[in-house]
Amino acid sequence: MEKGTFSSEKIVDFLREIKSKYKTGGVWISRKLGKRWSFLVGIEPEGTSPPCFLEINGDFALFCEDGELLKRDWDSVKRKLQEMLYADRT
Amino acid sequence: MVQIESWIKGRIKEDEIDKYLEDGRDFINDEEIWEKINRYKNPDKNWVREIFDKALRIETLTPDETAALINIEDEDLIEEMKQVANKIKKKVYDNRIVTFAPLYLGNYCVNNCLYCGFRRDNRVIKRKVLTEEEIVKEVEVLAGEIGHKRLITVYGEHPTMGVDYIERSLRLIYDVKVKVRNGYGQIRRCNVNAPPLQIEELKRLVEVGIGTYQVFQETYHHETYEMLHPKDTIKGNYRWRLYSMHRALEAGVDDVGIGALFGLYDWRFEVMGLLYHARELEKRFGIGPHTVSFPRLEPAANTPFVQETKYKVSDKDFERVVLILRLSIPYAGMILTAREPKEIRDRLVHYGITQMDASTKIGIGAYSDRYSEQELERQQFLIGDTRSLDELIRDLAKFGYITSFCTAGYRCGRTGDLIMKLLKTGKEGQFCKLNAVLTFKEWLLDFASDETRVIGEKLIEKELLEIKEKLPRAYDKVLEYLKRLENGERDLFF
Repeated sequence: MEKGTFSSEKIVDFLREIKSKYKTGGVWISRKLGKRWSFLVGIEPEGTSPPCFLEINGDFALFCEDGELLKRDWDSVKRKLQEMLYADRT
Repeated sequence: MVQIESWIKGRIKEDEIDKYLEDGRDFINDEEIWEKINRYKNPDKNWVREIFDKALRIETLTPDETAALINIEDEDLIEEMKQVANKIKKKVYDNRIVTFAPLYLGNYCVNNCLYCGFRRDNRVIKRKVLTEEEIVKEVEVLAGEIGHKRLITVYGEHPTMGVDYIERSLRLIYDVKVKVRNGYGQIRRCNVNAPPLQIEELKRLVEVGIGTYQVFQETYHHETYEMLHPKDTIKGNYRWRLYSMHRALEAGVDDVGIGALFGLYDWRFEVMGLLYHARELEKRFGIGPHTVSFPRLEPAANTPFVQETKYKVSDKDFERVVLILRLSIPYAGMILTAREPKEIRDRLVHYGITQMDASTKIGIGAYSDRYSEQELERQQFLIGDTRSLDELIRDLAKFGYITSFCTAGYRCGRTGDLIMKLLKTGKEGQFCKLNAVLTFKEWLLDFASDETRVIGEKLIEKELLEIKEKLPRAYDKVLEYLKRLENGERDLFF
């Protein structure tokens, strides 16, 4: 999937919800390119915590500053993100 | 021969130039640039200081403002500009210098540029393209013996080094993992200096994980460009080259690097050209250049043009090039390569440089065949600073700089527009500091000589005190990560 082939505003809104509900600090989605990751969409980091890695699927991952609370609900959040990334293209 | 000719014919896609033109014109207006340079002779001191403040706020300067800086003659103001340049660099990137190595994969070329040792008609050059096995051997030395984590791979414009070859070489490079003293060595970021590519080709390189994509315009001056690059060659098309970065960003490349070869035309014009290029990318894509390069023309085998050029840049003017670029595009990384002699690099490192290469060899296959002599028939030019990485690290430490092997942005996707935002707000500098300490520690454990390790550990202690004071929330985590590195873990980052 290329940048701009999904509704990034909707995803950013959802990431804002995640940030507020799970106190994640910065939270963003990256795309895997070979052995590295590339920024796709999201909210910038606020401080200097190591990024927490949560895999969405083989192609995408969510990174955030503090993922402890989010990890508990990760399965449902992941499903929603998958839907948004693949089904909600504009 | 026929194959090469048909390959050349298929290279330039006019529609991938025309789509970016405005009213049929490109974004470099030679008359306008000279008009601005000539308009601001002896700029008002107060205005100049306002420009300094703007640069310190990490805002890209306007062409008028850069033209004013170009015209500063007052020695006191130049001294002030040096301090401003240093402050900008510290604010955006902290006190770290990132190191890398160039890896030349071949020296075949279909172009015939007057100033280049690798030009098609130069019969004295020994031509070679690295095989897959040779690429791996080179990387094993770079990542496994020297300890580099970043490369800039350099390709010629020739069907033997087309996009298939570039793609394959990147995969090979990223796959090399070498067991070293306490952990393993690997290349984590592979930047690419390649000829202008088509959008579909660039998309293929995005999928492999290309790092920064560099194409230098050489000279932004249309007439000079035309004179130096024969019209019947691919490189003879000024606009195909000028819009390389547009195509790259459209293809999804995260980071692009621009540059000019200083010595082909008036340095003042080239500085303006680089600024116009940066502003154009910001305007179109919201992302400026990740790096700016400013190599000076060096002697090359059987290439009399280099001696004859009237635009040779003196050391004094070169210093101004660096300062003015630092202020004009304050968020960009600035690369000072080993083309320059040690004395120049030691002086200019304080004026806003962010990246330097070391243990550099530019002969094809020169890392793995232990080739230590420089030979013009084998390389594009002679390098001026032959220090090893170990030596450079020691020298930088004496100046108070920490060497960074950070590739954290690529480990989590802090790239593209995200990193651009972080650079402009000064937030990235905090990550730079933390990741410099961690990656430097990793290198000390795996590659440093005893002498450098002692100096390096002292430097880390000093950095830790600063982190404790300025970034207290990160301090405990840094200590934990350092311990984990000592226990053999690798690739830890913020």
